[in-house]
Amino acid sequence: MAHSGPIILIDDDADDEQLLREALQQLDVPNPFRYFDDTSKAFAYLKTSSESPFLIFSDVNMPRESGIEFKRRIDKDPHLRSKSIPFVFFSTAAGRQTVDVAYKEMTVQGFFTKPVGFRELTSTIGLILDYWRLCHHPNANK
Amino acid sequence: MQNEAIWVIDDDVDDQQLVCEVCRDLKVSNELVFLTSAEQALQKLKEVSVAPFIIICDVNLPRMDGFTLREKILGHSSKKMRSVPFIYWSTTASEQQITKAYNLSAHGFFIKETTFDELKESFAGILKYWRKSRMPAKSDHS
Repeated sequence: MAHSGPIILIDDDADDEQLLREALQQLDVPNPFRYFDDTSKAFAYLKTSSESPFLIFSDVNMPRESGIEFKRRIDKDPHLRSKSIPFVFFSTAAGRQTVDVAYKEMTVQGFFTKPVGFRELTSTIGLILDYWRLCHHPNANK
Repeated sequence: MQNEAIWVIDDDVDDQQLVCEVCRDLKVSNELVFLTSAEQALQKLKEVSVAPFIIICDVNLPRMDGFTLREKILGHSSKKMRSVPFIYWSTTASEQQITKAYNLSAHGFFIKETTFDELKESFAGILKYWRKSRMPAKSDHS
């Protein structure tokens, strides 16, 4: 079941990784968690792994390739496009324009501001996971 | 913010009625716009200047189905219309339909729950998610 597939995080900030990991623990999320500190590693994983990820969380502002460019690259790749993994941006500070680009020039399944407090983070992650658990997903029986 | 209309495209009047009751129970303040066919939805898209908050669309519609409608919306000249979260809901869903939905950049695929409480829970989840998520500009002047 893709609902039990790994949750992916791409973020250059290792502190955010730690926080998300703790939030997932707090929520008793059974899905494996895969973390990449830059988009090229994440891209290589998505291309080669036989896993069916449940959900991708990606930061927007990263030193090498931005989350926006990364998503553009996924959309251009026929194999990855067909995997249709739900993709949500998770960003500390993204301007209005970036949000517009994300929705209007590619498909994202959500754009969330990283909450500041841990409780708020846990509740945001909880509602995102609830949504995708309720949703039917292309790889559900693979 | 995020108080634009919610469009529900569904030819089943009973389902429309249920959505109405669910939204009343959930104290949803967004205007609900019911459209009974894809053609009607396309006409409405031409008329409005402010894009809806989200679109919830049945798959099986008379004449033009929800997939063809989505293709037409993705080909729409207005980016603000193309970028509205587009969520399918359907009584049944085959693997093929789900894959097709995500290939058409859907923002979710929900099953029409059979009990009022389950339907309410689904709707509450959908609304919470998209209210929390940042959204692209809904009109050309915001």
